[in-house]
Amino acid sequence: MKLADCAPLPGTGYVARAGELVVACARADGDEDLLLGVMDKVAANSGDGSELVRHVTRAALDQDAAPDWACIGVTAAGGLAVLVHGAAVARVTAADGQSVSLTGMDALIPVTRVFTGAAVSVTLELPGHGDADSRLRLDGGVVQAGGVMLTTVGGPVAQPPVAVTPPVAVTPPVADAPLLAETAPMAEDLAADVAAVPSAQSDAVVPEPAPSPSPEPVLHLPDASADFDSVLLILSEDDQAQASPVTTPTEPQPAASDEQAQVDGVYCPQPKIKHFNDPAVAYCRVCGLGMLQQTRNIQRGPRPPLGVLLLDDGMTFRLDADYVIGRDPGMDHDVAAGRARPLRMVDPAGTISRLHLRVALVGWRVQVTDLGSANGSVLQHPGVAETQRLTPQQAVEIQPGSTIHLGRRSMRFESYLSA
Amino acid sequence: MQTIADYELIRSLGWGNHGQFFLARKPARLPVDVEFVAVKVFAGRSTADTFRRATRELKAFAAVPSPHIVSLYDAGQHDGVLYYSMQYLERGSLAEPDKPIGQAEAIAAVRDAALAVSALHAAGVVHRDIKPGNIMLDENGGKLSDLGLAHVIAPGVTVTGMGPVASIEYTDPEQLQGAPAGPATDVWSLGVTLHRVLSGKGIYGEDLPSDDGLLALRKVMSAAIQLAPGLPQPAAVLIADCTGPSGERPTAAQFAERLSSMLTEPETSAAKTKSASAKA
Repeated sequence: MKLADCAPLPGTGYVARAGELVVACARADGDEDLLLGVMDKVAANSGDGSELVRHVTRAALDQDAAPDWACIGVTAAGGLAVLVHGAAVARVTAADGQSVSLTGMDALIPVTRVFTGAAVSVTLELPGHGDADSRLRLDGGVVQAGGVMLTTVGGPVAQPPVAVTPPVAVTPPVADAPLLAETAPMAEDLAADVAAVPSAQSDAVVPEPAPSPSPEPVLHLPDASADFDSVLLILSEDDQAQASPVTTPTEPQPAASDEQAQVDGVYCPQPKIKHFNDPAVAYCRVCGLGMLQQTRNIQRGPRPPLGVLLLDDGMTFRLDADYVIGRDPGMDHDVAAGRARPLRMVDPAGTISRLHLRVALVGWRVQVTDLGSANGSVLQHPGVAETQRLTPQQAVEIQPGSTIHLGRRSMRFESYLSA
Repeated sequence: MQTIADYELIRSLGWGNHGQFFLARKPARLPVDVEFVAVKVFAGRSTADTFRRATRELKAFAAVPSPHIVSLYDAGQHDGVLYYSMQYLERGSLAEPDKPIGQAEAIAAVRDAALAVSALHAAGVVHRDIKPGNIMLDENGGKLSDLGLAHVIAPGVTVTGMGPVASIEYTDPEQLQGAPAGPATDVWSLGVTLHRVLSGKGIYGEDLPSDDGLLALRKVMSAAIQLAPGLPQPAAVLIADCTGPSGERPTAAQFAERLSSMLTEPETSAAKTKSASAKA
């Protein structure tokens, strides 16, 4: 879903738009700067409507009175997040003509909703607004207005919206007609945020969101004053004549870490290509065939990759060997001996140690060990909010979905095939 | 002015695996008669060991006698940054030609790349990164570029986070599963490249997600191959052979020969209406 037409209504307040985010507020002394600032910040960050609604909620609660504020934004999941506060009103209309009105008048805290239904139009109204004029248009920036009339294009997305939690008591009743697919109010997100303030026992390191590949990588160019080494690759005629094919050994002896380890496992019952599996699993990891009949037939075989390490910069490493991760992993004995692969991870802030973490494959399991790093390593198991600081030199098993924070960087262990 | 070693970098030519290509002015010390060169600058800091191993591989690549391999000039390391320079071909690559090219010309360029791969294999060199973006165009046809160095720079890496992640659609899934790269995995990539050039599509049906490495990997690991409908029969058979079991694939030389015969047989011209388009 995207915002299409965006027509300001006449009035004395402000309406601002940045991409798929729109805010409206009555004129007050200075409050509007705060709201406009929040929108700019979210637009520069994720551009996600649910983030806008959460931040505006927080900003609204910091005000002494209830300012007349409204905002709307397309969420990352393709829904529409709406917030009204004070005397602001939002009217949301579905493609089939059904509509719902939200007002902040009856509530003490901002009223929020996420709509995931088909194409809608939305009007945000501030007190004293004039009639809509469809010739007016706002593609971006801030204008003086009393509200805004919006239409959206594009249907809902297949996946359900993210936060679905029971409503809190302070939300006002909504119109009773069966309406657009509507999810629970988001105000409780705030309560959850408050509750999530780290307790004394929990770790000081705040887990960052899941790694997202940076679309535009940054290339480091050398300091021009430094010396450089170079090797000429241009060959003379003589060199070319001498370059005898066939005998040129280009592939050095493969490192021991590149050889597939032999482990005990079971083959799936697929007739053509039999996939080698962990004897503990009930279904083949590749073809999904049931393996209950196979579990007694344990054989020695080459271990397939156990998944991938997905770094926060988008790099993905195959887990078919042990890795030593750090600023200078080449100094590790196992790396030098070819028993583990070096994985260089750097952080300009210097929070990664030369040898920081070891990832080891043990049978069909993956273990991580902090190598006595200066800033430590913090493990977050999937679906668990608490984090665990690794004890140096003590191996801990991780599951697909586990995130490991190394200083300010992070990586996730993921399985190749969707679970 | 940005520089590396004694190269003045003029502008970016785009991202490749692990680094960025630049148009640069040729330093006086290089004994070649050109004004401009292309320089690949690798991301991340390289160590003396990385530089030594990368140089060894680049030397082997540069020494392979074939008119269809881009000439390399110089490799170096400057302040921990690895680079190498090569012939600059202003017509661009099969993925991004400077002007649209006809299908016959595109097929001929893939054939030339296969001849280059065949020469590499005869010399014991595996390319590891064959895709339309690495087949450059010049007036004589195609020239293979950008030897894959991922195994030197970051052993075990499957998605580098630089350049389009969808380029793993050209990688043999067995290699993603840990199998070593070899002549057969290069032939797989040649087959997928031909498919892209002829149909404008990848072999996994829909295009791979271009911004999510993990999703792209999962798709390559789990999706069945779907050849595009309407491919000329000999091409469809050739692509199917290239993406079959690794022991049964044609050699790069056989691949080139079969493409050559397709270029001379008239019935393939039926499929020439679509202009070739390809993505790296």
